[in-house]
Amino acid sequence: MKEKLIQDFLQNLNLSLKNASIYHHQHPAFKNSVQELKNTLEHLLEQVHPLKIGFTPRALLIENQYWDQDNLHLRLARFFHRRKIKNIQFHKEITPEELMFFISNLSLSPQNIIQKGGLRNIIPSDQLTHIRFEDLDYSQLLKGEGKEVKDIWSYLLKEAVEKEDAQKIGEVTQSFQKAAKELNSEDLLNNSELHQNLSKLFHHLNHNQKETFRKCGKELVKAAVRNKDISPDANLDNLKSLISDLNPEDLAATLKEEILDDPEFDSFSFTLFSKLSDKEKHHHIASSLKDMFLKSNSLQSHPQAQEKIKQTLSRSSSPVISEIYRDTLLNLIEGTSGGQELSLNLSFLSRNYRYLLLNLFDNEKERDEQISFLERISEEMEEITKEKDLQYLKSLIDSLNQKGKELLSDPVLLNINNYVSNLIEDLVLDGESLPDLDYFLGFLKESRVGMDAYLEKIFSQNNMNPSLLRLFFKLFPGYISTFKERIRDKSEDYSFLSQMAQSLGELDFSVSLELLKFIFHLGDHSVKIKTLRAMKELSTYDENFLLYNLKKGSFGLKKEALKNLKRSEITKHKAVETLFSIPSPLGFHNKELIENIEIAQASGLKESRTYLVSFTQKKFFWNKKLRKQALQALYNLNE
Amino acid sequence: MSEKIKSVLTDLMSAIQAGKIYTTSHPRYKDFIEKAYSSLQNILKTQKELAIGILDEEIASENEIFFDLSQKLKPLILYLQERNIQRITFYSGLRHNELSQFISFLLTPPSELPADTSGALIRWGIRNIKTGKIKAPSSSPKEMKSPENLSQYYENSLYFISRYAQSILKGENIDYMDLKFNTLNFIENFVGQYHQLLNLERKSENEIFDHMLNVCILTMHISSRSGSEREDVLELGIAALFHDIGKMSLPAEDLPNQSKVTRNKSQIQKNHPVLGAKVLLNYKESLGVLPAVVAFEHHLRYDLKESSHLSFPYPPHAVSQIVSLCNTYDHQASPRSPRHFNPPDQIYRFMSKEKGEQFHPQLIQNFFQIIGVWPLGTLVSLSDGRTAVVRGINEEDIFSPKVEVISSPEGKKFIDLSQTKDIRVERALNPRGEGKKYTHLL
Repeated sequence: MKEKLIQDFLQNLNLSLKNASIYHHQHPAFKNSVQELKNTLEHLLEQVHPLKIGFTPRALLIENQYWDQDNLHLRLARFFHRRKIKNIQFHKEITPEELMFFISNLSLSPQNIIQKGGLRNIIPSDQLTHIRFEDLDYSQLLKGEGKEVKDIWSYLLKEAVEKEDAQKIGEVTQSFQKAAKELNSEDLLNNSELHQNLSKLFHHLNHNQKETFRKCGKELVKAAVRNKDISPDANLDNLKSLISDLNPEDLAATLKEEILDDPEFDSFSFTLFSKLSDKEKHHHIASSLKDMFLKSNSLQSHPQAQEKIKQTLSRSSSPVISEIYRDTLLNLIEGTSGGQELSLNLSFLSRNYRYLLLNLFDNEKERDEQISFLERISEEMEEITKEKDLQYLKSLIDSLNQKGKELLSDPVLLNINNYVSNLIEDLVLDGESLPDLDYFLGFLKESRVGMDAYLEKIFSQNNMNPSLLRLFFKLFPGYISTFKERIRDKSEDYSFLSQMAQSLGELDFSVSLELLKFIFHLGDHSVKIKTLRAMKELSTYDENFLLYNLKKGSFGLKKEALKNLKRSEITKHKAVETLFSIPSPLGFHNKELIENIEIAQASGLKESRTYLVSFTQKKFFWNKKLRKQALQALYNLNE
Repeated sequence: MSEKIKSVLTDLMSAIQAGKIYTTSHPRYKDFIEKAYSSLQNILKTQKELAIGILDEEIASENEIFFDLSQKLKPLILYLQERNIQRITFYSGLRHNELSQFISFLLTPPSELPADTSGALIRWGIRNIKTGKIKAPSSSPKEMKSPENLSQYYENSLYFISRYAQSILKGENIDYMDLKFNTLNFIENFVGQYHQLLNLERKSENEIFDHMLNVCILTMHISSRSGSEREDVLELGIAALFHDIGKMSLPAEDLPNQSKVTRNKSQIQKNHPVLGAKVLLNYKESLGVLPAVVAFEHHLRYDLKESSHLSFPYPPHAVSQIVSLCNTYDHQASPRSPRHFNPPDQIYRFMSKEKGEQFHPQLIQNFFQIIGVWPLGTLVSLSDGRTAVVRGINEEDIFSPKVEVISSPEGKKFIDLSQTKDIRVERALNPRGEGKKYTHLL
């Protein structure tokens, strides 16, 4: 009997919570469900007083018994646990208003509640007489795992810096490492509130707890370097400013730890690290790094780390890593292999020789002497291109650009140009992806191999490497129509079209959108979906094209079109209008509306709420499914 | 080409050996002459001449010394040495009978040969083969041991260095084989005697050449003791020899007055790596790129600090770093005046401070393991009051060398200080100052 009462109570509690998320607190539906809940509660309180319910992530604890038998129990347990509520107590003579107030606030989203610091901060204890509840201890919560730790920690951080509370600052810094690991790329690069709070925290620590500042700063650097979602072209200014007070020794220590301890550390990680500190600091960092490795002799006992370094710094995989770091680490590895035997190491000698020439050339003011050095450099070009020493070529191009136009027409420079162009072209045609391709693109004026070689690679060998495509469009700008014809020739090959679409999306070149639309029209449904996904990666978009597909397309196309349109507030609202401003007299277009509701729900389009609420209020039986779907969507959008 | 020249040398030797066994009319002997002639023609059809040189126990041609053939060609080398022949040049146009006559000439007992071999060859009708001497003074290491010979040979070496340097500065051709042989001589005669050289009387006008030679000797000593191949040691030595050639870029006679000398002197000091590299680049074909690289880099720091003058900083090559070490050591150790003395332990402390900064940590460690804190030949005062001279270095304990006590009434005695905890080196004695009274006992 008691169990039945408890079960009834839980069901009514569930319904009230649901209604609270949908309706305003004055809405009759909500009021009725709360009244029903109160009635059930009163019956139960006659048998169990007070009624105390504890919450674990997957069960309810009532009367010393765990309730986890069905979905209702699981759902409620999850509901309360996500809102960081430890337990609730209900007492007799509870009023409907008190219950309504409590339920309304409970229905706030978990993030909302956590960001405000818990339900206790939203409902002070004096506002409830017959209901007691207890929040989970936030500092205990930090011992947990997962993304929630980040939310909790972010709240704690905000509180700590606003109130300059030493204890809270201590809790925040103690869990800094764990929280930093949960930060995603969006948090690291664009979360302005988080950055502001971190900046205040670091400022405080830098002046009061230097050691803690250094520790936390280093953890932040590690979090960034380990994040594989950060694009190589991302703007790191915000992050850089946070760690600008870290000294080169600390940065070097961080890099050393990453090299030794992080199995995922690779050239991408290294590139990111290089970009996080100013170029002026690189020397100092590299020098400190060298000292640390030498003093601790740690490289000698870590052959795997040595191998990792060699692979990371191999030229073709990491042309963008600062030469300072490259040479420092390679020298360290060289030094670990004994050092007793001194060989001339001719491969290094030729490298030193060409850097000697480059420096002499760069310092030289006399034109004849400049040409003389260039001639010597030109003699080394074969070796340079064989070694794919792109870093050297970049330095050479930098130097040439400084020299001005007098040298441009000299035959020796034309010879060097040819070598560079041929190397870049060969690398790209061989399938190498060059992050610095843009730098060299300016140097390439014409192709040595001709357009057909590119078309062969792309359309016969199915090599659609973005660097290859980029080079093609740079060298043959007037041949887009030829390119389209070749795509058309392969219009039956949907796998090819999908792959091409993906590469064009990664490319984000001026012709990408045009070509993607072309592919869209050629391909089947699956290709169209992939094309729309690729369009989402572009910086430009065709609003009319997307709205058309949102209106007329299949479910899948609409979904993808909507994802594209979510990129700005204006297009979001236009999308909402397109989806829902469909008249549906007698429910004629309800099916379409229901489909659109599903799409909006799947995309998390909260801007559609107004329409959804209006759909829930539609009368007549033919709108029943529409009402239900809208209600469901509202509930899910609130979660 | 190297293989073709080796064939010539081996075939020549075979022909001489055949000549000792067979008569000159024997078919077998003729076969060997034919083979040697064929080998020579193989080269002379593409170049005007082929020169072969011998110095001490090595044989060389063009840009290469054939160390690996020294043992095999010993009979040929001895043969030529006995006949006072250090160089043989074969010219294109060489006829078969000329070669045959030449071998017969070589088979003549030395006592029957005239002193002037070149003239004799012409009289024998041999016009496309010439003989002569290498211009390097050759002495056996035994003769070098006495201070007088050491001093004389050192002076001779300085003369050659100044000649090479002036030729390079004027852009003249240099005899590369000559240079290589002389450098080889430095290995034979000076390596391991660096500190004895420091005690020789110096002439101030030779200061720069002293330094160039000293750094060359030190560099070759270090690289040789570190396990480098002989060929590499020679390459390093030549590179080290010219590391400061940039300082000579503005000859004194071109400077009209003193103030310009002073002004330009500091500029040259600052710019001499660049000046030296530029000059040596013109000799890339004969000397290779290493001398230019070393000249440019020998002041670059290991930690790359103070590299702002480089538009594109990069780590110096290992060879440059060795030369840099030797360069600094010689600057510290070389007496600037008769009374000047920088104690070796002070030099060690001074340089060690730069470990990992100016100098590669492993290289500086190796350097002092080989040289020792108290180098060979250093006059030292021991903690027990006796005076000794350092006779051996302990690589495991560079502060505790093997010494020969020279001031004891019991006579000379050898002590390995690494085996005695009670005695240590207290300080070095200036051989020109307080140590002068002991130098006759060395």
